[in-house]
Amino acid sequence: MAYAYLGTSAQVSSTATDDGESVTLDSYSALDAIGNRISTGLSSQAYLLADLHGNVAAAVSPGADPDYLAGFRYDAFGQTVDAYTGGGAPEIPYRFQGRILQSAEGSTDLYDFGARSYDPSLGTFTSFDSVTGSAQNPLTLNRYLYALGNPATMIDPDGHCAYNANTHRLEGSDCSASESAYTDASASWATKMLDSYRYSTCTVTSANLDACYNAYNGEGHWTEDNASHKWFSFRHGQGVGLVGGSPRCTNPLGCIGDLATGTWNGFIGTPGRYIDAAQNAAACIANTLGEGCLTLEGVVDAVQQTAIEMNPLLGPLSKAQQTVDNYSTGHYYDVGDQLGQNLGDAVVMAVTLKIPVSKIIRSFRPGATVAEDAAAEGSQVYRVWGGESGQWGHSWTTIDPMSMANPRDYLGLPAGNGGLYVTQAEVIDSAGVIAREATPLGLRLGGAPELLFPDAVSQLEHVFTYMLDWPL
Amino acid sequence: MDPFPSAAVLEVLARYGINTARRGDNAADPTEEIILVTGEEFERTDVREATLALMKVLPGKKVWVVPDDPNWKSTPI
Repeated sequence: MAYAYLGTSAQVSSTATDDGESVTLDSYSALDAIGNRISTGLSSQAYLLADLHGNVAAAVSPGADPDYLAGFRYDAFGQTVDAYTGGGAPEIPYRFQGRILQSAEGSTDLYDFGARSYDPSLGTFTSFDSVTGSAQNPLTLNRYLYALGNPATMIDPDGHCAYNANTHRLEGSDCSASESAYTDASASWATKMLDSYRYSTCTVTSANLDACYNAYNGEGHWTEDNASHKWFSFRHGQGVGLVGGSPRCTNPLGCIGDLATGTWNGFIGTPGRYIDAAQNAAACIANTLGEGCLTLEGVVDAVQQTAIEMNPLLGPLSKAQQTVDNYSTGHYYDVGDQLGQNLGDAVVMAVTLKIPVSKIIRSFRPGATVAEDAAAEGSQVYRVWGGESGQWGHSWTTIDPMSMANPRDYLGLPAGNGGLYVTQAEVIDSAGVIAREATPLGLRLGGAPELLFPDAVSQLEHVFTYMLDWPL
Repeated sequence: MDPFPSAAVLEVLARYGINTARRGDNAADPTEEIILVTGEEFERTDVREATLALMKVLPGKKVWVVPDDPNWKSTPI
């Protein structure tokens, strides 16, 4: 199988050799194809569904009762780490970032990213970028680099410039050519990102799948069917679908099928992990990457917000944050505990996604909206203290400070707080408790979720206190 | 420890339309300053902005502006 551009169009043809003759099999859009319908004739069709990162995560059949035809899972740089193709899906040329997988099966993956080809095993493009870098952004001076080496946060829609979802800007010294790609209403990633929200009115049931596909100009964006919870899909990172018979999946991270059995089990897919549909830690099923698994609770604040910030396709935090309420549990679930290691969600995410831990943990800050039930009785809270600050002051946080890259920074601790100790306590009385994000203090960024207890001594029950090896 | 700058705090609060406030007890942590306002004023005030403004007259303090509650021990400012 080989792919070639059709003239100057955005179409790519696939060809195969039959008795020495080259036969054109089909043509595809060279652009990403998340949410698109693919086919090899009427007998074999599938809809491509995205994971939270904009990769083709699964294919399902059209019709009133969709079947799970194929599933793919990738690491942050796009290496396929697992796949299920036993469901009879037509050949799916689109994979990582919805891009065409150029290479033949069995050989090293190579993706068409427009201007250049990308090798996910190297994590770099295979040729020099014609767009020059800038000393103002030194990473751009490495002209082989993909998404500035930060593929979890950035994407590279045309092979020239990385797109930063946090700033909503292209990163590079001369991205004028790339910029046109974003402003092209029919093909821009930026526009598509907005489309994720713009199309949120498309209420689709499993019965009118095709109608909705057509209604949205073939962009294949479906929302949840509240009536039957049959299945739904959000385009570009807002999640993928769920089929009937499985528990309802409403997590914005999307639902990915069980690659081992080829069935949808209501698992919620963060990159490389899934979550027990029963929301029961004891029943948590080992995932395909083997780094443990999460219950639904685990997604609530930590991983969910982390992923939202890292995901260039999910857009503003405030939008995604609305769904957090569906999962409020008021505490974090430590993946590391599942592994018997003293690692937090952030560390595991960092390992999985190959990005700095500090980047992940920083994501606690902007997404640190405190759930209303964070101070519910039984919740665990933490306090950093020492120096002028006593143990039973009013300010506490809902996040274990030791899971933060820089607690002093995120908690906005005053200089008078010596940061010598951490106390963990359980809420036994939440009367009059106020929640907020920690305010900036001097150069401290603040942002960590904070709770203010009018009388901590009577409202909290001490769990334990430990002294830090190094003051914060 | 510097005396509590009552006049400056009241002046800042007045800029935000807060005319009545009390100071929460901070004996356990003098680096915290809790300004208690009426529930009505708390609701109609941009609390975050007011807090940041107060931090300028209460340097080096973790400042909270919160609605008064019977659970608080407090003193008039």
